[in-house]
Amino acid sequence: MPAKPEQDSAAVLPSDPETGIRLLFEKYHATIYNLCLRILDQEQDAEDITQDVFVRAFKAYHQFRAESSPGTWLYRIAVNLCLNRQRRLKYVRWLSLDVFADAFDTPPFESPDPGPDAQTEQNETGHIVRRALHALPDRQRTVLIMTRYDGLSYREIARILACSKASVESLLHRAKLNLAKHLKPYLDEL
Amino acid sequence: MTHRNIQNRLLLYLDDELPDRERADIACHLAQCSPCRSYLAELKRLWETEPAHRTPPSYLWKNVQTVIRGHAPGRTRPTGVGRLFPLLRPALMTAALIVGIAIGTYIGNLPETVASSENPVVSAEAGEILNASYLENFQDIPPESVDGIYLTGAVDE
Repeated sequence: MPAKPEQDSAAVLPSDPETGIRLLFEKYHATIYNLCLRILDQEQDAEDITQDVFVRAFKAYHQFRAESSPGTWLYRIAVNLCLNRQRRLKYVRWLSLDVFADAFDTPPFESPDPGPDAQTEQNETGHIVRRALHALPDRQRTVLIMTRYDGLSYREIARILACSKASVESLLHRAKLNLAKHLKPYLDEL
Repeated sequence: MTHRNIQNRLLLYLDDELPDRERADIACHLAQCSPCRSYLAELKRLWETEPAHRTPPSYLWKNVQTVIRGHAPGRTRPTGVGRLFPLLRPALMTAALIVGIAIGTYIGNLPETVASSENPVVSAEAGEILNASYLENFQDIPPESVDGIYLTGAVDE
């Protein structure tokens, strides 16, 4: 079961940075990796960002204050890095560097090709939802992923994104409306 | 509401995030509309599928460890004036832009300044000509120069 940032709000980190980061890595790296993977939809990028999260946490280890949990802190670093990566990617596309852009392009909706077993069906279903998620604006997608897949509260997401709880609610509302629109072409085919 | 509007809001309906009245309207519509019910069932299947949880590659920690052993924590943040660099950069760019505009304006005014310093008489005449060319003096049309028909609009019948 992946760790959630609120679970260790009272945690005290060891004074040795490497030991502390090692502990945080063991507890959170799978959660952070999956969060990055869902936001970026690219394995290599998710690996790079996950590593970067812990390297940055190490560099800023002594500046961490226990006002929030270490998990929230790591989430915040991860989300910021992912959103920055997405922003850079948009610049690449804007500059029409098609060689790079093609590698990241999301293909249009594909009709599902149901396989013989339930696992295949689940993979197809996951694929459809993932594609639809990836068509959302970055912040909407991030909020939706954090509530839906990581089970974070609005308050926690507001802390991670450094915005108000009302903004999170509004983002989430728009995200769900948009997601329904992006799922519609697939559902209409059924 | 149309089928399309209903279908676009079904995700919010599923998560119980609609106002009571709207929720009741949609429930009423669903009770009567078979295609929208099928749509809801499919959407629910998609939405409630548990996402696959991927296991990260095992070499991640080694990579992190390699990088952090080359760094000392807390020493990367610049101190003193260096900390102000992110703020100084946009300020310097703005200052450079202002200086550029000032230089451009100065160069744009340069010929007039040179003329006036070299020969004030010529420059005064040139100034008058310039003024004359820019400030065209549109006089009213003297009434006697135009036939009455054009001023009064009267037509002789």
